[in-house]
Amino acid sequence: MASTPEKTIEATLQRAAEGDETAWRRIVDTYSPRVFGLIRAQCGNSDLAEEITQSTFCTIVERIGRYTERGRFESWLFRIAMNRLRDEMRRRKRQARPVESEALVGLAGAAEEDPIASPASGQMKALEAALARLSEADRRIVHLRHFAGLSFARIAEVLGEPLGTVLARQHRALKKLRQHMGEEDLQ
Amino acid sequence: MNGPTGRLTTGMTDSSDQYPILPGPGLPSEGDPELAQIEAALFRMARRRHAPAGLAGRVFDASVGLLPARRLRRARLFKLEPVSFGSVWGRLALAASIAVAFVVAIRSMPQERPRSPLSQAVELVLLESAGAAPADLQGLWRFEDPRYGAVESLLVTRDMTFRDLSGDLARLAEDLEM
Repeated sequence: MASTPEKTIEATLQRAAEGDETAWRRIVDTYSPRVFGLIRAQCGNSDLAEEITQSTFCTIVERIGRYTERGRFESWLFRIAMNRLRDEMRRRKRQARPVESEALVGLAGAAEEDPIASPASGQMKALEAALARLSEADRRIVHLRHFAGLSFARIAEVLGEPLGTVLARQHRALKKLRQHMGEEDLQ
Repeated sequence: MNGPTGRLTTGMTDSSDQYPILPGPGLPSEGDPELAQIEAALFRMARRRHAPAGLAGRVFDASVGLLPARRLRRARLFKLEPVSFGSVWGRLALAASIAVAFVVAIRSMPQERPRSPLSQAVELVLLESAGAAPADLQGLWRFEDPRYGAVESLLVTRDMTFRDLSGDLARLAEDLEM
């Protein structure tokens, strides 16, 4: 009988906690692109996203010996990643010096151009623009769902919110995206 | 093809190697084709944004050294085992007793004054002139004897040779009842 993904993850985590480097590599190979995708979507900076991803996995491996898997590994991992990003953004905000307002012009568009997505259709660009217009809370759910590949149950665990709230917010976010994209088309 | 969102993700490209663990079903957009299209477009956008080459390798290299078993091996290598308080006190008591024994031994040793070149010269002259035995000269090195001061002051006079002094020293030796 084939083992469920949860069982596989549990066994892999157990082996990694015992120092099995192959098991740890499997965890990193499986999850690091997803953590990176989420963080880059959130901050729009590949270098920072990689830095946060590395920091997240260092934290995980330091605590893995004390971690007991109960099907919550994904929520634990992505919560740490989100917290790392939040702390880093706060740190940068504290260290930031006041700048001339002119220097801020165009900074919103400073997110890196995706060489693969760039030649994509106008629909992708419209979607990008519509995403940028979402509230931070709505955008976060979209990122957790589509860029981190989390289920709604896991998103609810990461955000510490009821599943119904998460579902309702996702639905509202999609409707807003449709609305914003429609407005883009009209323009 | 069924994607992570079930039947509503029609049109998604297949790149399951990048997202091997997929979210379960259950969509707020169910029943609304327009919302389903937006969801599908979001998944396509996410899949086109590949992680940079070698990301997983770099993350692995940065973190593998922190695996619990590796930390344990390092600790053993550098002998970082905790030491009990009892063991520490035992070692301190042993070191203290050795130090006390050493001090007692030093203090109980007979103290012998160093023989200066001057004392050796006096001894030679006296041995020649008075035929005294070396054992008889011990008194000369007792600096607390006030008569020794006379011998010493006599000998430190630079313009006198030992031959000049021999007579005086012989008399002093007699005076010291040697």
